[in-house]
Amino acid sequence: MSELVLGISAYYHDSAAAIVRDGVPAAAAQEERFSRKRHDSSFPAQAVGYCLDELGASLEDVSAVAYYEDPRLKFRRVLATLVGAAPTSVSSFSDTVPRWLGKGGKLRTLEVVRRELESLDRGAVPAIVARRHHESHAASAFFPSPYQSAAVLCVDGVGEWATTTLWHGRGSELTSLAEIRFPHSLGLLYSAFTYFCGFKVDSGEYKLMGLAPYGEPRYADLIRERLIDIKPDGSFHLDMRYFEYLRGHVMTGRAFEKLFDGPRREAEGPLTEREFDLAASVQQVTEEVMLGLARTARERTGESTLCLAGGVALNCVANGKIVDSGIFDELWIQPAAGDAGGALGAALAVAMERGAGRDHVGTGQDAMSGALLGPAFSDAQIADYLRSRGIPHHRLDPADLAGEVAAALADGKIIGWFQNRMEFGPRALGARSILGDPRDPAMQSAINLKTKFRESFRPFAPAVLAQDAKDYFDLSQESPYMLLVAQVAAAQQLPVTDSGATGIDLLHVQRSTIPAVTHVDCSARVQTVSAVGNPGYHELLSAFKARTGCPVLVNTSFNVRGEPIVNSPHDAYTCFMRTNIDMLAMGNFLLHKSEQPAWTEEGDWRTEIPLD
Amino acid sequence: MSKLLLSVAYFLVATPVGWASRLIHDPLSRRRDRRAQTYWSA
Repeated sequence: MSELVLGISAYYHDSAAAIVRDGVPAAAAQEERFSRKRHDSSFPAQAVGYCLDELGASLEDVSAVAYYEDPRLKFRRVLATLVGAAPTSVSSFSDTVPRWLGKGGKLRTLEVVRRELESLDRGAVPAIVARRHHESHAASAFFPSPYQSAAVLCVDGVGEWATTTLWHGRGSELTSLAEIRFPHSLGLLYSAFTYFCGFKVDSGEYKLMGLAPYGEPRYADLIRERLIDIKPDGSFHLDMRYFEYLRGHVMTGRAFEKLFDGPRREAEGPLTEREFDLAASVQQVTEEVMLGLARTARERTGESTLCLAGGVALNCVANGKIVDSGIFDELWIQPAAGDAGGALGAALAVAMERGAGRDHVGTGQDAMSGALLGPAFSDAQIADYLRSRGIPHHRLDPADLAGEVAAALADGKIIGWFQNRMEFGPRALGARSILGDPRDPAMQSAINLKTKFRESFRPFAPAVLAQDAKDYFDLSQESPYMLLVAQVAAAQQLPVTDSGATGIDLLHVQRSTIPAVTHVDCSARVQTVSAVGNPGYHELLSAFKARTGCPVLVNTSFNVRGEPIVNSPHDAYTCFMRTNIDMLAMGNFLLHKSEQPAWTEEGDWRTEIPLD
Repeated sequence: MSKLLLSVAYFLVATPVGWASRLIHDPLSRRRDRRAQTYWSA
């Protein structure tokens, strides 16, 4: 009988559930994909239900439930922070304390989790144990990695006390080596700039990273002089006089404004050179710290491979710099590096403690199944949906699907690609993706403005056949989870004359043979696709290459701005009809926009989806 | 818990405790130690 461990992360952001079977991730999903509320932090009831359904299990079949952080320890940190900031934190104190204490308060999270699980009516609830936040991250980074032993770095905002941790992973064991504690946090430094530049904390960090190549790092020295003291070993200390997060609910205040030329940018306000330069500056400092941490990880463990997790590990530009530095021979990054991945990590930590093995080590593959751990929909289920709604469609022979879609892509069409099990983690990896032709210079703007309705400055990422990756990108290892940024290979770059363009206008300069996925600094966030991880997607890329000679596609998540990635056929069809996606490939069914009846719905969906 | 009661507790208990504890050891390590070789802790 297999041993199952259920992992849960909840009540901060990106709630998720995961089930590990005999130490192998078997099912995992974020609650937002079911509730359709982006970054949903509520108890992941639907995600737990899905995980149990996927395994055909009840809670009685589960040996233990693992919660991704220790609520008591976290409360001690929250209290120490509030008391430490006295007498300037009274409003935060009176808001926060009631949320922790009292019946159903966050201090009693494990009891609340038990009650929530009981209310699912899926059998008797087993023992619930809490793991520390960074242990969950470290477990999610190391145990599914393909390495027998490795250095492990976890860098995020904060969990309980730790904000940065260094571990040594060997076999089925993780040993903690060192940590940096709250309030000194690289993740919170990055979030402070995210907030100051007018983006949302805990979700807008990607935008800041995407903005950085437009600017010059003219504030980097100021950040090093005033905000963060960085030691040669990568450890750091923040000057808390410039931050507000100890006292209240905002990240920065007047001291920050004084340092960085005036008030913060209002949300959705115009982007100026200052924001470009702030983004470039904090990105440069972040990379410097990450390289220092990586060097220390190498020295302290003697290992030649590094595993990464924690929200900062989603900074794929910094990850790319670690790869380029050659400090390690290879990197493996948990695809759900943020808090959702904590559910998986907590379950893995408990499974390993209970004697699970890591049988995948030695095969050269990781244990993440290409991060395709979410729900799948069979052709029969999709057919039922299409017929019940009277939706015009064509059923294709599986052998013809890739060829038809590749032809449409080559013809400039934008494709909704809904196949296989849904991805776990923030990136769409070819299961719930919008695809386009990267050779088309107008594609970036077409998908940003007319399909995803998001800001025009945001770059798109390429998916490339793994065997052709080196012809297109300067990448020395595989990047199956789109978490490494690399330069577009010199052979693909085009000569650029100085057009005098600055800021967002830089985007309109064609720099390579694949302009739609080439950022203004000639970088790209690459996903390498192999036949093992996602055969159908590999087949599509191969068909596109056979037709065009180009083994690359634009791949962006299947959603509009502010909406979670689509989960079900209904989500996919709705997104297809609301946007200018030309064709939807769902299982072996192809839907053409031109054949669909007019789309009507009550209300204006664009005002109902909150901006991210 | 009323906001007023919490505010009273904050100024009568949390604030003096915060001040006193900072004299001995600041759990948030806010003061920068210029002589420190590293900010890692074991």
